[in-house]
Amino acid sequence: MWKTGPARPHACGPGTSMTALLGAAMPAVCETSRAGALRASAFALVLALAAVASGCADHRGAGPVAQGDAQRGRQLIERYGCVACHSVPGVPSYGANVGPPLAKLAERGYLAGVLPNTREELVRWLRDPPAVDPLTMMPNLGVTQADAVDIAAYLHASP
Amino acid sequence: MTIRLRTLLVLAVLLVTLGATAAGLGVWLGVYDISAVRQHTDPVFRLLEYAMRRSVHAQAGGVRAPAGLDDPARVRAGAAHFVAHCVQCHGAPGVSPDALAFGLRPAPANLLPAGRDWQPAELFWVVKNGIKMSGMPAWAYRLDDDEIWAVVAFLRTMPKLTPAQYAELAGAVSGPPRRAPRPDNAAATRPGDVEAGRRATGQYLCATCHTIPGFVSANNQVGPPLGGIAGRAFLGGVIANTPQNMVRWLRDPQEVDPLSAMPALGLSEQDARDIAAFLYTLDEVGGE
Repeated sequence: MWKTGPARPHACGPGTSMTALLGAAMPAVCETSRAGALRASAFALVLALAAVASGCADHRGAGPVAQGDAQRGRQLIERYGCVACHSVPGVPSYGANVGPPLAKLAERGYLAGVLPNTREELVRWLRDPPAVDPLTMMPNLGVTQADAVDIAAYLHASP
Repeated sequence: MTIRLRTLLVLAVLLVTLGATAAGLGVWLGVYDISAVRQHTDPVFRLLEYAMRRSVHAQAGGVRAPAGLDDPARVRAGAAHFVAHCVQCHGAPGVSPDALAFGLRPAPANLLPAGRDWQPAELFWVVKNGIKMSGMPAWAYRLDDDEIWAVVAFLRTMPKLTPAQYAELAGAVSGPPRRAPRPDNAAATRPGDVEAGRRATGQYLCATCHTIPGFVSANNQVGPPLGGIAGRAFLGGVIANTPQNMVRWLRDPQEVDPLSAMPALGLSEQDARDIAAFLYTLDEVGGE
C-alpha cells in the first residue's frame, strides 16, 4: 500500500489536538514550511476526490461499524496526531515508541491487551480509551463516532 | 552432443549421490539439534509449520461442519471440554498454561488465531486426529464427534471473549477456576543476565503470543510485538517502562492491570530479571 514517508508528519503543526495535548514536548521535526503544507493539502485533496469518485457512502452517524472509509481514516490518523505515540504503517511516522506499533493490527489478538480485536471494540477504544481501561496512558482524543469508524477501517486494513 | 549429455548425466548422478551421502552422514552423526530447549532454525521451523498447515488443509477436505455450529449451547458444552482438556497446554484469555506446557516443542499455540482464522473443518480434524511429533494428542479416542464439534464452536467464540468473560464462562461450566501456576518465590541471587533471559523467554512460551526478534514462532500476533520494547514508554500501556516495573509486569500482569489478557506464568524473580535484561536489548521497533 503506501510507503512510509520521511519523518516529517504534517499533522503535528499548530492547531492539531496532539499539539494541544503535548505542548512543549512536541518534537521539533514538524513540517511547518508553506511548501510542505501545500503538498499536504494537495495530497489530501487528491485522496478526498478519489474517495468521492469511488462512491463512498456517508458513514456519519450510527451506521454499520463494519464499513468505514479507510482512505479517510488515514487522513484522520494524521489529523489526530496518532504518530506522536505510535508508528502507523503507511503514515509518515517518526518511530514514536510511546505505545506499541500499529502494523498488522488486524492480526492482533487483543487491542491494548484488554479487548478482543473486533471492529466494534476498536471503535469503542478509539472513542474513549480510559472508559475501557481506566489505567491506560492513551488519552481520550475526542474522536467522533464517524471518525473512529474510518480510523478503525484503516487500521484493520493496513499491512 | 552425446558425449556432453552423458557427462551431464554422470555429473547429476554424482551430485545426487554426494548429497544423499552427506545428508545420511549428518543424520547418523546426529548433527541436527533435537533439543527442546533450543528452537528450530527459522527455515526448518517455517517448513514444518507450512507442511502441517497444508496437510491439515488437505486432510480436512472431506469434513463437513454441522449446521448452526456456533449455537450458544454448543459453545457452552465446548467450553466445558476446553477447561477439562485444553487449557492445561494452550492457556486461555488471561490464563496461563500449566507448567508442563513450558517444556513442549513445538510450543502449544495460543488458540486465538486458530479460532479466528482456521476453517471449522480444519479445527475439527486437528482436535480429532492430533498432530504427529507435536504433543497434540488425538482426541478421537476420548471425545465423540459431537463433543469435538462443541470444542470447535467454543474455539471460534474464544477470540471474542475478554479475560473476564472467559472466566465467567469457564466458572459457569466447570466450577471454581483452576489454580494458576504457583509463582516461584525463590529470591533472585544476581542481576538479570541477557543470555539467561533469552533462554527463559523461550521456556515461558512468550513467542506463542508475541513477535520477538530472534524467536521462531507462528501465530504470534496475540499481543503486541516486542521489537522496540526496550524504548517503549509504557508497559502494557499502563505503567512507565522501568526495570522494576518490567519485572513487576512480567511476574503478574493482572496485578498491574486487572483487565489484561496476559496471564501470570509463574515466573520467579530471577527469571523475570533475566527476561527483563533480554527484553532491554530489543531496541528496534519492527525488527523481526
